[in-house]
Amino acid sequence: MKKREHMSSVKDHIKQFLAAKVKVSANELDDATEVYSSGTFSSLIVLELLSYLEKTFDVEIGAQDLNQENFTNVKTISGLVERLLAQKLSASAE
Amino acid sequence: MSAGAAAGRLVHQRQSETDVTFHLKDEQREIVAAIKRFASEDKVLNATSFRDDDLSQFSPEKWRRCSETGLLALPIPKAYGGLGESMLTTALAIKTLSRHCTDEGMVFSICAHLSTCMIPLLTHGTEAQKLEYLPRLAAGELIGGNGSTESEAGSDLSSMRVRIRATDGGYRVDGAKLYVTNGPIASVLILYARHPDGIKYADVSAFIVETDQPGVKVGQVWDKMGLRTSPLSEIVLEDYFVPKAKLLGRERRGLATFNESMLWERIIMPAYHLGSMEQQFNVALERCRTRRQYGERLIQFQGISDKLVAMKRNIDTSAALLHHVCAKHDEVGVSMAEASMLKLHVSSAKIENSLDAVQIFGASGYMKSNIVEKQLRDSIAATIYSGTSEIQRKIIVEEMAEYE
Repeated sequence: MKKREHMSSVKDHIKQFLAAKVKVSANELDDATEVYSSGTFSSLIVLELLSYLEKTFDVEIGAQDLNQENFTNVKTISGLVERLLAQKLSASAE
Repeated sequence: MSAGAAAGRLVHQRQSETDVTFHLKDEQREIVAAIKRFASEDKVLNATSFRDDDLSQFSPEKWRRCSETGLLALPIPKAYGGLGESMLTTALAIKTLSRHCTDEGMVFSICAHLSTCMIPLLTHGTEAQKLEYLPRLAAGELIGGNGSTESEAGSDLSSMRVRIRATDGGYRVDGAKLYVTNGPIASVLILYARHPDGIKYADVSAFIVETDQPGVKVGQVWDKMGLRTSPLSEIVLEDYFVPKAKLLGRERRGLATFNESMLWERIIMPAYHLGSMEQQFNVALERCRTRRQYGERLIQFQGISDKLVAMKRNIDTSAALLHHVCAKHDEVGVSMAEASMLKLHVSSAKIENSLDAVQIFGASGYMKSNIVEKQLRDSIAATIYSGTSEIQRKIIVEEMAEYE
């Protein structure tokens, strides 16, 4: 899978997950949709998102990754997942 | 048929154990029967309930006797000193204890010990942590609890101010937890604290506190309206050191641990509530059968019999919902909203029934010497702890957003 297509699918997964939680169409969420916009996502959803990402992409989101920079919006979250996937790929190649 | 005739038939339907309708397995029946025998026949359990309530006195002897029944070990796997029983069996056992025990504070402390301390260790502890604590908690040798609520963080735990920061070999924690059930008597507490940085909801860590360690102390011990034999206090942490080995679960994933314990608490507490409602109903029914006014038994008056019917409705619906949620939990799991609905319904029912019981007794129901007076005071917090009814409704509505 090409990198651009892979990026798209990671974002799509995240949008689909978040859209299902708040019962909107995934098309209504864009890359800039903020995770912490007031009242949109509860504590349970954030925790479920972390669990979902780890299970879906088989990555581990460490304590050091849980920061504002990585969890601002859909784009930054997918960027984190991509970096973790790349690290995992690199580690297995060594 | 007249209201009187209908009420006469009701008199003969003394509240039976609701679990006989649940088609229990033989093993479950044995456990329930054993708890019933203990709670009905033990010389200490109910002997001093009024005095202990008056003095806000926890009884270590009662705790020891309850522990010896194996109740605390029920849901814990055998590998950790438990009996490996299901949620349903655990709930039925607690319900049965509460059905025959007049010390609701003791039952409440047991529920808190199970759901807020043992369950987080079971679901998120390392093998070493489970082996270190669970056997002794299951035996009742250690008393457990948790510290989450703060002065500025009740329903909204994400606002907690107790701070945890990384240091060599572990973490340092400072702050105070406000309402810690079992606080003054606990040996082990699961506490939750917030990191100074990170992202909301994923910035809280859970950790194991041994209360005999430096840096942790019992603060104010609260004088409560009800559940007075279940001690409640502040727990103060001053530069308390948490070794890495005592972090519970993953760093910054503490709210997931807390949520798991809340799921259990929102099922276990209704089990206790149901048992106490059954006990209360029989007290009220007996009053209605024996007391006469205007030459008639109270139960002949529709204004009174309507209350008995309402109480039984609350009991029967609570029993059905409790069984359903427990059975589903054991088979496929339940959502937080399902546990919340159970807690919402049964806790409200407990207060309604308690008010009706006092009303049935009239002036005598208002006296400290009457069990229904104590039951009402013990009931009022039911819609507050384990998440207020308002929070339960919020959780239920949020899940509705996901309905197909």
